[in-house]
Formats: sequence, structure tokens, C-alpha cells
Amino acid sequence: MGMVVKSVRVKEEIWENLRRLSKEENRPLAQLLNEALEKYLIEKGGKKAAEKIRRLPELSLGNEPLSREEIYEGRY
Amino acid sequence: MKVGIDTNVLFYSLNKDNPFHREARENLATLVENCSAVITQQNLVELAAALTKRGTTPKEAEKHIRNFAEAIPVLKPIAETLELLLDRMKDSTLTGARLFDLYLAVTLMSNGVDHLYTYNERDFRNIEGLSLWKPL
Repeated sequence: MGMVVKSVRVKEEIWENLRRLSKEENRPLAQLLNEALEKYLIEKGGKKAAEKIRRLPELSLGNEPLSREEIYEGRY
Repeated sequence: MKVGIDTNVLFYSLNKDNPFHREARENLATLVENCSAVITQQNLVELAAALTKRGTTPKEAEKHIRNFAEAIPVLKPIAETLELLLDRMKDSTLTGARLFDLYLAVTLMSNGVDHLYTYNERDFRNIEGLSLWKPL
């Protein structure tokens, strides 16, 4: 996925610890930050979103396969 | 690794009549749980079209679309998407509705996604830079 530049406020001590870790591990700050945020999102958001998928309603729409031709051709 | 989800996977995950229903739903849930799954706006519009063509009302379809949009990050075409589409069209034999396959592929690739989970593998097999995702 692409990278974006955002401005956010963070506690100074967290920022300084992140910089220290970046130097110690010789890895870019952005990489450490991305890894940490991704881990957090998996812990917090991933399970909840997956549960939403597992609990989607079940519809009865016929057993024919779906193709892009069906979607776009004979549009009406 | 991020994996683009094709419209047929979304559709089969809802459609209990389809033989891939359970597999599609569980694979999708696992990819969502790992924060690997992404979809595009094109997928959601296609899903709306497919659902309403098979008898779902637009009002019901809106709820299903919203469920997916709330659970899975939705990618949008970016400036490079059109350029990549036009570049690939130069050497392509794809025509008609098949160009929407290519548009989906370049929307994913221009957003840095190079894997696709689909049940129409034949349609994407020859798109350079895009690999088909298979469950382990």
C-alpha cells in the first residue's frame, strides 16, 4: 500500500523513546511506527471486523457463478 | 501483505446458495482479522449491481455494502491509476467488460497491493504484477 504523510500529536516521551529505538535498531522511524500501529489495529480492530464478516446475513441468490460480464453487460 | 478482494468473494460470502459460500466467508474473515484484506470502490459498486440483478432491493443492498465498507479498508483510484490502465491497454487484447478486470487490477497495483483473492482466476492470470492469493 502507498504511504501518506500525516500530522499527529504524540507524547514527547513516546516520541523520544521511538527515536532512541530507531537508532538502536538502525531502522527508520516510519517503519517502527507502522509496525506498532499495524499490531495495535490487528489486536483491536481486526477481530471485531472479522466477527462482523462472520455474522453477515446469508442471502439466497441462486447458485450461478458471478462474472464481471454479468455485472457490466446487459446492464438493465 | 495486503490482498485485494474481488467482487465474487464478497458476493459468495453473502450467497448461501453458492458452493464457495462458507470458504469465501471464512477466508475473507481471516484476511480481515489479519488486517490484510482491502477492497476498492469498484468492488462495492459491482456488488451493488450484482445483488440488485439477483433480486435484492437497492435498500437492502445498501446495508450489505455498508457492512463491507465498515469492516474492510476501501481503496480509491489515485492519479497513477488511470496512467497505469492506459499503459497496460497498449499491449492488451482485453475488450468490453474485461477492461473492468484490468481497471480493478491497476487500482490495486497503483495503491501498492499486488495480490488478489478471486474465484475468476482465469481473468487475472495474465496481468503482470498481480499475483493470485491462495489460502495456506
